Amino acid sequence: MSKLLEIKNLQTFFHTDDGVAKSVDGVSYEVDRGETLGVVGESGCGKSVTALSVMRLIPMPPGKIEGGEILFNGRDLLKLTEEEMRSIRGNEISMIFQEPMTSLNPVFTIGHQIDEAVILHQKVSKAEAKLRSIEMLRLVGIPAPEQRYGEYPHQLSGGMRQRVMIAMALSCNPQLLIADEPTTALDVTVQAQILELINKLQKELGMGVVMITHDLGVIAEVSDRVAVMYGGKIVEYSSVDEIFHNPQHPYTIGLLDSIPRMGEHHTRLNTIEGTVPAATSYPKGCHFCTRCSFADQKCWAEEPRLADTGSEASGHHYVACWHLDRVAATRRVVETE
Amino acid sequence: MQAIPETQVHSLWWYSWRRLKRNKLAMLGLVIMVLLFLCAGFAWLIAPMNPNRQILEYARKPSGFAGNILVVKAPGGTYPDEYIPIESYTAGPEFISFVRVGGSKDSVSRSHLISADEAEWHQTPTFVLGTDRFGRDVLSRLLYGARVSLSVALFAEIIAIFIGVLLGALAGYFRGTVDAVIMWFTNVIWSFPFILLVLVFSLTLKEFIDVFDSIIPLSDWVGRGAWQTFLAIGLTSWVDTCRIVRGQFFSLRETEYVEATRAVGFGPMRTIFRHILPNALGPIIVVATAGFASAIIAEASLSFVGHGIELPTATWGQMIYDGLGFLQAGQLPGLTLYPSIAIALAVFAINVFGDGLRDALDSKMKV
Repeated sequence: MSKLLEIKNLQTFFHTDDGVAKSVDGVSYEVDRGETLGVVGESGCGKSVTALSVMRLIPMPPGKIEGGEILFNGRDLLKLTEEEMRSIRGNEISMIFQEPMTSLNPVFTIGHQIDEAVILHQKVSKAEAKLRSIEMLRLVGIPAPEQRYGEYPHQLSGGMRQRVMIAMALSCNPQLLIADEPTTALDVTVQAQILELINKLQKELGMGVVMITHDLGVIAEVSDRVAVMYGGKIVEYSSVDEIFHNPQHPYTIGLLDSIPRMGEHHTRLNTIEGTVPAATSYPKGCHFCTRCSFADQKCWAEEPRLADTGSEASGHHYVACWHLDRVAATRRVVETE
Repeated sequence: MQAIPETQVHSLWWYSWRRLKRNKLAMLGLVIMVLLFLCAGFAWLIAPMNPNRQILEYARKPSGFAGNILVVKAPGGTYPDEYIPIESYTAGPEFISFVRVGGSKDSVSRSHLISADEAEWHQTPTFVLGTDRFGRDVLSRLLYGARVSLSVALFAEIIAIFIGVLLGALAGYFRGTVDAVIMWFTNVIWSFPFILLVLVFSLTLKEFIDVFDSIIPLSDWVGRGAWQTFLAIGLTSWVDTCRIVRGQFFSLRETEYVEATRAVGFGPMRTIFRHILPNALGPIIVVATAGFASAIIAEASLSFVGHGIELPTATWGQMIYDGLGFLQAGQLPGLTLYPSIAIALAVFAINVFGDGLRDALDSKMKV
């Protein structure tokens, strides 16, 4: 049986006035049923563009999917017609967005909005759709769903709206849920509730989940495996334990070091020096070399490939770096100190 | 989770209406509009006289002039009744002898009278706003004129909104080539002086008026030339709507909830007309009211230059044109003044109502 979602060497470029922005350049990852893949990276690293490519929602032009394959249950989504793709969106693959405050149409009741998706994909009557919508609202933990059904988005709080978005996304029993920073706009207690909800529903419904975030805390909480992205590429890809306990790429290490830890005293938080280069002007070699303390001529000239450094115990652990030995050595020194 | 307090949930329209009700000026506009529409709709009931009835002896009479008229059957019976303006009359058993306006004596047989009832064959109508140069009642013509002005404005605006919304929505949503082509076309229309373009359309469409009339006989309902006027104004005044809608779609298409509709698998037409359009409705309503006002003016201008609804149908623009000669000669300013006031009142009412509507709908968007 084929994997639920398998992205192979995806390339999504944007043709802008400033040149070609290689937002996603050779990304591969896979998600299986009942599994959560965390995709982490800073703004503009291509994590959302990868997800939008899966949904085929890249604005074209200026965007274009230049190469690669996106296999969903073995079917290449990039070869489907727009019509076929439309019947997959919201039905087999659903997506929830970052902004629950603005992701609902202000002029319709939330019930109407869930109904519409259900009616479109499940071909059911208005009455059946209403039952289904109320059931979904109850499932995502909205109190008094019958009453909420007839309310407008402005009458709900941010957390409630995100629950409604999740209800809408799950209303057609999708096999894959793409969550694009679903908790970024919410306050911390609500974040935890929403993540818990997604985890719970995933177990109940057996979906695959792609959790896109820049928050490593979210990754630690929900993911089974993690892809760390930088500059349109995956730089490290392994199980969640490996990422947190045995990070090997300088960027991943930098990210983990920038998290303030309880019990440690800092006057300044650790940061990664420099800024992300524009997507139109990535260096020829490793995209991280402009900010990497280990970078040498080779890093600038030649692009490192993802290589499996995993052991039998740790499982696959892919890293793209020329200087794994030096990085590891430095890390050991830091840890023994 | 805490219990939800039992609050009455109202639609956004309900809140807009409540805000609108608080706006006195807008409500005044609305009331005037409703009254004007009632006048237009019930002109046949309210108007004291047939607006096209000419009583030449009573031409150019001032406001409040009281007439004195015998009503007799027209010869042959197919024509409308004949109005004979008189100075006095004496009713005999078989004949009515009377003195015509001007002094000549005459008589008419009772059998020629419109009926046996004296209240019907002898009338003393008051011409509240006076008469025009053919002795037609100005008030009646104003009331019937409202019918032309408002129906032209209404239907022309419906046509304009339909075209403007359709083109604007497509241009704003699809952008790129579609936008370029539509905007090119829009700018071509826009670059012509409005009244000139209306005239061109009007004169061109005149050729096909019988074809249109065979489908819907608007000429019988409003007046000959109604079709061409509706279409000419409608086909030229969609440009503002188009640009506004396009602008709205430019910003609305980037909103998260529109992106969400794509993620749910809705097609572009469903997204455009079911999801974006309702959000652009506020500005569209406002531009529609403004367009309504300018359509009234456009119709008046068209009638003024003699290419609107054809004579003898009363229209406000035509009435102003008729009165203008007298005004220039320093006589009878009322003939120009009254229809001008009517136009100004209608335009004022619809504009303040539109302004109020914009305020009421705008704050909705901030919720």
